[in-house]
Amino acid sequence: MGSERSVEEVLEGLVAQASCLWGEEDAERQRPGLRVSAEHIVTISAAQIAVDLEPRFF
Amino acid sequence: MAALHALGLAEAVSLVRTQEVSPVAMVEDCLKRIDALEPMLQAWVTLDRAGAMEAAQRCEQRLQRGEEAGLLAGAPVGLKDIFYTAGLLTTAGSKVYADFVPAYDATSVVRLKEAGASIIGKAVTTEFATSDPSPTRNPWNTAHTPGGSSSGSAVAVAARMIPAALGSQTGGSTLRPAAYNGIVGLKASYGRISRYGVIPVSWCLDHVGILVRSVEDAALLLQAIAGPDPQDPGALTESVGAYTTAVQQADTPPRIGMLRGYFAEHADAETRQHTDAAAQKLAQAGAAVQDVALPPSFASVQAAQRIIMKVEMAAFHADMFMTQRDLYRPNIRESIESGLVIPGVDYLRAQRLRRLFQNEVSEMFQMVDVLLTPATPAPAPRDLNTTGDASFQSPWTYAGVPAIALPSGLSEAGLPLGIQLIAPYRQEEQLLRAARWCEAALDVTLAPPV
Repeated sequence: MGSERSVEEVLEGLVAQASCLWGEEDAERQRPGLRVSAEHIVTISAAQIAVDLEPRFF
Repeated sequence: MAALHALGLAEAVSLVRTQEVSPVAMVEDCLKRIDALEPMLQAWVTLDRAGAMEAAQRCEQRLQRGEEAGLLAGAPVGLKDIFYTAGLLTTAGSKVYADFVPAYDATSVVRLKEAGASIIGKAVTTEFATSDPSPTRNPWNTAHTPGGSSSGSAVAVAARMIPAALGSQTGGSTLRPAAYNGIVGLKASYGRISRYGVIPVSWCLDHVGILVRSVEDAALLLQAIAGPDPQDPGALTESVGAYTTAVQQADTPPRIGMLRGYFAEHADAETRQHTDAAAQKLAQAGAAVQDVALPPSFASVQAAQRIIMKVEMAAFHADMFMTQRDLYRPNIRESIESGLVIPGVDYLRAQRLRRLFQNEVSEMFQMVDVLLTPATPAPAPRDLNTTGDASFQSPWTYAGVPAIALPSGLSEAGLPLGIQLIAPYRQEEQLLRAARWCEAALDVTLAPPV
């Protein structure tokens, strides 16, 4: 996942997933909330992480 | 002596242990105070009058027989309504859990009871400890939010209904309501207090929180409930520190790192000036105060915290949500809907950034003992449709490091203001020692006009 993704591109992906789960009309209703998450995804995509940095869950 | 309901936790326990105060009388006085204020403040979901009285009577009998009565002997304590309590309704503030009665106690509840506390009841939480506001009111001004999600716990302690309560913090749900209500809120390191039996928001971010009215009280409650728990996979395995001793050894002025940048930019003018004045007062009292820069990864912590929280919230609620979506309130519903579709790779990126931030935060303490920020960007907003802004607490929750909110004064509008201190991971003794020193130097105790 690179930092080149735009909010609109990420948002369309989230709306498409929501559409699969809930249907197109419901996914459109969710769009404002999904936009916030798309913005968060783009923000973290821009952060630099060393390739060998593993997550630590606990 | 203050009215029994107004005694602090440590003072109440001390008076019970020396049999100067009856634990039964203390529970009765707290219940009387609750009955008087509850119609206005709405801090409680369920009161366990009989259970609290029985616990107090057992404590009294033990003391009369000359037996050890525990670290929290006779102390009335409230629980946010997400803590499992055997045989006692646990609603999580949600229609989904409206009739849920757990079969067992959360580990922290077991430890409270073993320490001799009397569980008064279950305090109001926002729905599943998220951000849809609760009916609880701020005792300083009922037109302002009390904060959340541990709204009932914070208000009950601030209004002198009880000396102590447990809450939780996934973003800012303990320290924020503590600051908005003028009390002390402590979040220990991730894993220091077992999460077993606490209805989760996010497994990787959830912390049990402590709401009290002094640093000494925070140390005492932490001492009673901290420790390893094989039932909690995130629990720290090391033995607990000597927290109550640490606050008695707070003679040395701490080295304080002042965080500006994001915090100065996002605090309102009054809060910023108040925090600067508090730091100056601490410096004049002998603390070594210096500016500390935020690390590069700080820019993404708010976003990453939200992504982890939403995805893990969605994972916990997925099955219930698919069949009972209409029972969820708007904010949590929106979070779960987002969490269900955020890609796994982005969730894992947020987790990797968390580790990076944890590493960078640990380096911030090379020259200082604690970091200092305003506890919140502003006093409690005059808006009952919000629980306020968690952005000043959530980075430290995300990092899993211990943090404490201390009352530091009142705004021009008469609302509490507070400072936040943050210490390195697993260094609760360091945090509590510094916090006790700052508390003494600031010399601020707040009581709402109720």
